[in-house]
Amino acid sequence: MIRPTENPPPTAMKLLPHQAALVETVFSPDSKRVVALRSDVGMGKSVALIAVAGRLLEERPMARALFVVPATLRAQFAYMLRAAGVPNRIVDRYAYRELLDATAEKEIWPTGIVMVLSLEFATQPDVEDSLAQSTWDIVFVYEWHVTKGVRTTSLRRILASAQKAVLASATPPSHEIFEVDTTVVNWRRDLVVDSDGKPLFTPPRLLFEEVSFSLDATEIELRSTVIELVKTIGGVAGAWDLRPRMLIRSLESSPEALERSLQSMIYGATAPAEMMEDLIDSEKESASIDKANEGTESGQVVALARRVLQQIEAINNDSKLNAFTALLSRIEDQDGSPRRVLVVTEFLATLFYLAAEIEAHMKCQLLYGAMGADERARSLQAFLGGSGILIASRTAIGEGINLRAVTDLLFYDLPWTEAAAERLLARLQQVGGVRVVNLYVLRATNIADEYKAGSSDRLIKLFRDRP
Amino acid sequence: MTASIPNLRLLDHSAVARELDLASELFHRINRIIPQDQKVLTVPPKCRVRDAIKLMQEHGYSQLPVVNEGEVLGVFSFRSFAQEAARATLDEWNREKCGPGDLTVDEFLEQFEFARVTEEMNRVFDAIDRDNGILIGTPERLIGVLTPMDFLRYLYQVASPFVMISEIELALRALMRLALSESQIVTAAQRCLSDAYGGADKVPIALEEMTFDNYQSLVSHGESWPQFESVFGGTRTRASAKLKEVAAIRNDLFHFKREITVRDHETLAAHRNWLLSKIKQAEAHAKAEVRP
Repeated sequence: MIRPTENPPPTAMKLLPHQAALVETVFSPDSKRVVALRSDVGMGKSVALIAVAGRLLEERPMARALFVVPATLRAQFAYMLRAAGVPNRIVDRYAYRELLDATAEKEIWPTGIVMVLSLEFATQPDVEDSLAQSTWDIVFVYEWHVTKGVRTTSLRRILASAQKAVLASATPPSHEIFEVDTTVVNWRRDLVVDSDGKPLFTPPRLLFEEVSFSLDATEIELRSTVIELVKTIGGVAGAWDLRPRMLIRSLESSPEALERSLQSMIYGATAPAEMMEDLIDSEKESASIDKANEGTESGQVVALARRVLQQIEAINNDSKLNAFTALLSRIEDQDGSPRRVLVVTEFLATLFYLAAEIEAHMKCQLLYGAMGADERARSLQAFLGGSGILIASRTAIGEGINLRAVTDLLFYDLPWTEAAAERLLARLQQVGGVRVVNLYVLRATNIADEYKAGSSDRLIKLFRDRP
Repeated sequence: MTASIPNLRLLDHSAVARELDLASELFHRINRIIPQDQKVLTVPPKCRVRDAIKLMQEHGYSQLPVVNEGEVLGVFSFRSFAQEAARATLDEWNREKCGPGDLTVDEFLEQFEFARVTEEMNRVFDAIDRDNGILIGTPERLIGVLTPMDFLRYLYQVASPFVMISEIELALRALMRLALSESQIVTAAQRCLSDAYGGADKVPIALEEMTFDNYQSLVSHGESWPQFESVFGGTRTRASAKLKEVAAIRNDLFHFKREITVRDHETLAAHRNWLLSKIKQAEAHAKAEVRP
């Protein structure tokens, strides 16, 4: 059991006992040069790391500190550091050039301010050299388990320049990035206690419901054409091509998502990188993302894609959307208690599609990746502070978002991987979580082709088996 | 969490860094124009011309900085090579006992000006016009190379969302006018927007006076949609979703809330193309109607 520390960190941040204990561990002379935190999702890793950074700069105002985080979390970390009063600067290529330009000295990295870099940028050869040649008082690496291959080597080089390194991850290490001389801190949801020694986390009970609907004849015909297109692409581009799966996923999401995927195909735009990464993860493939975007479309593929677009235009019914709105009405009328319904989709086009459908009847907030931090905070506050619906893209429900007030979780699209679903479910189980969360998925019952998403059965089982 | 850490007294230490942050966020200076993914390719002075030109062709560059022990000596370019090569006579080539490709790049150097990343765009126009490029940084620390094409791409990238939004907005107005007469627009506006404006008499009645959100409300209103359906096609939800997505980007763009991403560009282009196709369909329909 991890017991709370007797001496909380001298910052104004209100830390949970296990977070305060981590801060103490990092600053303890007994801890090793590298502190590796392995934590279950939703236990406040980022807050703890920010508290460490804050305390370091409080005690040593001229310290040099570096955060290396996934690119998708970079702005969020900067926002959280700022909110905690810790001066910081996001360093991308532009900022890096300005740092180079600002001094003729070899050392370009300033002190007294936390540098926030994406993992991808930090491991670019010239940046890596510069980081590795500096002397860092502390380097934080967040979600370090995502590093693979040469990036691992790069990260090791950067870490070697740090007097102290804190590595945090929600996933058990599949390879050892850190040296043997490491202090390992393990945060497990079932082991963490509050200051009275009672279990801190009370996971909600999930009430799972599969909401069935049937596609009508026009929707089934559309699906047949999309499958024909998928088979044609398979013949043109080869097995590494991720677009067929993207098409099927978008077809199963909404007509808007499908239309956008087809337009991307016709006009040559690429799928968002994070989606591709998800797909690669889910299929355990090593195919390169770049390769997925290569390939020229044959006239046949483009002609078929245009035919699908015409079919979408001609269809006036959306059975899934109808099932969705009926479900929302049912949830709203359930028991008179205020409901906070989180609707999660994988596609931005679907997010706006759902918002357009329901906003005339119900109050709803939106949350998606391109929103600025302030706007995002406002949206979350409006949702969590009252009742209503939050429609969110799954990738935007990331680090630092507390979903404990959610009463109903509705997966409009099934997450693309089990890990993604698990990460999201864990966010419901934070401190003070509600007792029961209703979990819904929408599923067409009259699809029998081989292109039905293979992972959906596994996911449904995962939801059913969950206590 | 209580989000504050008192008594840090750190801000003064990072004043320079913060100033750079703010200036680079607010102003379109040289730094923004250098492609984000630019990898500066250099060659040593004793690199043979043949190898340098091969390298330039492989990367699609027309010049290469020549660097010796970290210091820029000059630039080898197609132009510098051509000028020097054309100047030499046949006798001189014979005396060299080698072809031009066997010589080293340091015999064909030209000098480019240097600019700092924090400088204004117009400061380098003359130099770029004259030399077809400019080096960024200092001879001891080369940060990048800027070409006229980099300028063109950057300015297009900055301007194109505004151009697309104007196309979208004007196309939307045109389609709404095709669907409804002026008096029908007034009726629809009063029906859809009265609540938002606090009374029918306060509602904007001309399309030019309305906001983009007003357009979306008009098009997606249940009672108005049957009239709009003939020009927009598809379903009300789909048309409304597209306009809603455009409105969100437009709002961020015109209020300078954030930088427009590649995905935003794609979204605007997709919805612009959707409206273009509707305009074309409406035109074709109108032509067919007037045909005897």
